[in-house]
Amino acid sequence: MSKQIRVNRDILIIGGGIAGITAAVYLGKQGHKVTLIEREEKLGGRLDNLFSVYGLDISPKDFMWEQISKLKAFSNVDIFTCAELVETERYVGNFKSKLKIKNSKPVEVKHGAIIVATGIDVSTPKMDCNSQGIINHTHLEDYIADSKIRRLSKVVFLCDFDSEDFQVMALSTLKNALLLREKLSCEVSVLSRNIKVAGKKFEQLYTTAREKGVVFSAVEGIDVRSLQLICDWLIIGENILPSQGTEELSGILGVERDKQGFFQNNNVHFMPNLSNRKGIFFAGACHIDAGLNDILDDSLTAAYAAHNLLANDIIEIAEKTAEVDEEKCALCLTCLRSCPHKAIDIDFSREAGKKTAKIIEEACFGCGICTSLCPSRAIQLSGYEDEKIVELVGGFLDEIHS
Amino acid sequence: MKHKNVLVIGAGIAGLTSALEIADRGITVHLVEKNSSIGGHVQRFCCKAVDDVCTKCGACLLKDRIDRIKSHPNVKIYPDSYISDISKSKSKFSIQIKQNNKHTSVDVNAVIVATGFTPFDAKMKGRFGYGRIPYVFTGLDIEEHFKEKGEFRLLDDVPKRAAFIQCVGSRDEHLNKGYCSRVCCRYALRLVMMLREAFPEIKVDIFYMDIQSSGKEFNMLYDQCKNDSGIEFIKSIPTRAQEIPEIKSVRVLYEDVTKAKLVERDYNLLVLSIGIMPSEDSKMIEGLLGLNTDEFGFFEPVDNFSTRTNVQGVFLSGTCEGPKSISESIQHAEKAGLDVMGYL
Repeated sequence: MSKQIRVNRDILIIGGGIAGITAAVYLGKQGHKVTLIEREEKLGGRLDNLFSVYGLDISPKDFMWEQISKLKAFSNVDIFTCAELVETERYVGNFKSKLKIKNSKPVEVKHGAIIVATGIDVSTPKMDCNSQGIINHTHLEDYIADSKIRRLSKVVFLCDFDSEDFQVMALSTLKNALLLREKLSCEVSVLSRNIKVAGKKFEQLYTTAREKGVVFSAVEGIDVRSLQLICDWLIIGENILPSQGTEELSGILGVERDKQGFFQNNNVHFMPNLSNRKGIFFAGACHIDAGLNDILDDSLTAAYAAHNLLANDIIEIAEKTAEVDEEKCALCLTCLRSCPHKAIDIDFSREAGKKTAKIIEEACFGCGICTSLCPSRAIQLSGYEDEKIVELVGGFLDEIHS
Repeated sequence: MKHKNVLVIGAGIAGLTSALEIADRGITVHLVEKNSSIGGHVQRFCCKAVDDVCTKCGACLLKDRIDRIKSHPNVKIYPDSYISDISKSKSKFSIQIKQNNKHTSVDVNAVIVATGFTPFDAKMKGRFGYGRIPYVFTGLDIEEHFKEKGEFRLLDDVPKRAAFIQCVGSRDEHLNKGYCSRVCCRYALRLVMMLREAFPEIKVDIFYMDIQSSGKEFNMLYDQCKNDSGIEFIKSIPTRAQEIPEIKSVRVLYEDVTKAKLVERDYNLLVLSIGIMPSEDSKMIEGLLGLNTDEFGFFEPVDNFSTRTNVQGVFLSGTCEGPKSISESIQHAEKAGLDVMGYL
């Protein structure tokens, strides 16, 4: 009989962009009490600022509005804007978090799982010259949305400027190039090292753009800074960066990031949405580089994973978890520092002088790192106890010797 | 809730993932696989760690799923089986499963199509000499070889020069393959790094149209390849390859687009990065279920944002819907499982 613990079915979602909202709508429908926090004054995130998105037939604003109204219809979804996460304590199934809310008292919420959907930021690459004609995609979307475009005769899109563009930026280039070509019938050319078409129907978009007269040129091996371009507008693809505050948030939650600073350690075993801590999931652009289509898929699978974890009010504890021998533990804290899953704490319930390390069974992955590092061999992983391993290895060695 | 049954067609990584997702929720899954073993194409893929460091190809994610599905009380596996007939009445499907000469009939409430893909047949691109020239292989051949042998021993001598040709069977309008297979750049660069590790002296040229360097940290692997003096990226797709038996080489003719000149180079090893085609069985499934397909033969969902199809109760999972990497397939399969649970 495996052990079980009771869990709280509530869920905290960090980020009120499309990923967070999609997850919240799904979880709201499943009857979870959802707390959605957003740093800005209103929900919507980046998608709300775009004029059009490839793969979406309606305008992103309308799509967003639809999703937000769906969300607001749920009585079991609490939304806090201008809110930030300050602190999260405890473990999967029974987290306790403090929220800081502008012009209001701090709020404390208890929840069983967390979905991180903090999205991305963009920055425009530095150009040597300053000119009104040099704009980025964010400006371009604004101009198109406000119909502020004067007559243009030639537009150049410059991609892969500092480094290879992200998929989402490359897709934006294809989409906007076609849009300008069709709307204004001006000359549109795209300078890039690699056209990125690795997504559903992206190749068709590229083909259509060429058929409509967008000119694509490869600039591999050419320093684009030395080129002389004559055009009304030079549109530069922005660099995609982890959303501001990603580092702090990863510290608060104890979750790892990849080498580029985005959420989720690049480990196939955590794919698609898991983190190094049980009960914390990632959704959307904060951990993958993809178009809207894939972002929606991703947010749903994150929400599903969270729902799956908490659906039955209980979670079963895996059989293979570490155990501390209280007699041997000297509370050196080696295990606490080395556990990648934040599954070790100090047992404060004991009297002073007799405190020991404590394994949080529900958060333990059974990886065995603490077991192998403990200097006084006070931790054993059930199923892999020292005696058992010695016996196994011993028998193996005997076999070799004989 | 009355007890429900679901049919999953295809026991590759997508079919297994969807089946587990549903079976874990107490629903009986009938898993039909045409081959004698479950696991699909992924079981042919090798671990692509370079220098003992994981490059996140995901090939190792299969084994755990196979182990789980084999001991799952809610999953019934039918190896060596075909679907011979499907009839739909109201919200039920009755399925005839043909296993060798044995016929089984089951009633299910929903169907997940996870028929996967067929690797492009490199012989269709005759000018690269696959099957004729002994130094020409596909990326899949190399993977299988690494998987089986653990090292590279396809040639008698140590290869000094190797070349990879990308987009063989992808982004090719002559073959009506106007789509990107999404995975070839990723596996090719990983294989290139593996070859560089196995033979530090080897020089590798990569012929490409556009490197699809998207994916987590993949730009970093691409940069690593670009900074490697032993690897040259050539933006051009060669026109032909011919055997030069005297020097045990294959001679590749391509256009150097920066100089607008035709160039010939000799290689000891030529690898064709073949792409993903719709499964050869998808026509049959399409006929049985009456599913919509896109212009290339992949099954088409009703909208961009779900795995539902034009037939109510039928869902798509994995690469039968379009090219995907292993992790993308897993995610899509989980989504299919989710959609089915919502439907039941």
